[in-house]
Amino acid sequence: MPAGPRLARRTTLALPAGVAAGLVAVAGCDDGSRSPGDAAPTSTPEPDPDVVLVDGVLEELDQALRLASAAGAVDLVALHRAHIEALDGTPPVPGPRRRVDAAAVRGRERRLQAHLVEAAVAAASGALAGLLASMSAAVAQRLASAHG
Amino acid sequence: MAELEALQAALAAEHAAVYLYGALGGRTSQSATPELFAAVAAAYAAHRARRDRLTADVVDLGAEPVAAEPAYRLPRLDTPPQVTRAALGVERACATTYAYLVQNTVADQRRSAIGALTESAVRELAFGGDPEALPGSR
Repeated sequence: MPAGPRLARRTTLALPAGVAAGLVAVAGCDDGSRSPGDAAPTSTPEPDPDVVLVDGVLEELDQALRLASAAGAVDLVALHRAHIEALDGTPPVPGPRRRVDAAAVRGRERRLQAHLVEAAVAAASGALAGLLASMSAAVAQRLASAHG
Repeated sequence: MAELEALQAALAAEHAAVYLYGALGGRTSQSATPELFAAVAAAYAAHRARRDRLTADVVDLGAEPVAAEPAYRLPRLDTPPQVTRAALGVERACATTYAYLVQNTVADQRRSAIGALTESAVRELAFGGDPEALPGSR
């Protein structure tokens, strides 16, 4: 399987440069006049929607990989592992093989493909959208071939 | 405007695909290689539909759709394997173009591009392509 581009989440989904610079500037303005008892701002920044989206995709990939692994579908396992790594995730340790209905594997793959399409449409980052769409197309290829 | 540029690039790719598939159809025998003939005919119809849709999309943005070239360079098409290889090249090129379109569009236009990318990726298999980890990312 050819190696594809890797899209590191921490790089692709990083805060915009202006926001990061602003945070640094604010930190540098501390004049030391605050006493330890002063209340610090407690609001938690909203999570980057693309980070949340990728976490959801990784969860779907994890589930698909586990089922494919249990079914002994080595090509699907390799595909999902590559996709998890492309998203900067950590593939799960495969569990033992067990009896899995082929229809269940196909159903999981179809669900994964649909999830990838929706995630690609929803992604704020164009690069992330392209990666997720390509992953979806890869799953579609598997469904159309031996696992269709 | 990135979206318009990407749409025009996809349209240019579809012009080339329609031209090449027209040539491939003329070099494919329905009786001698029926499966290849059917695959080429189906791909020709699909790319014509995509071309027409992209043309309309560009017009909707108020721009002039890029025109087809008068002719395109054809590879050797003397044998079924040569026809198959040429078709595979078209689908790979279109998949790459649509991956670019996905990156430069949003909402319904992006969804359509994802569909086109997927269709080309799956059609690659009919022309001897192997499943890839990331179709369109070449």
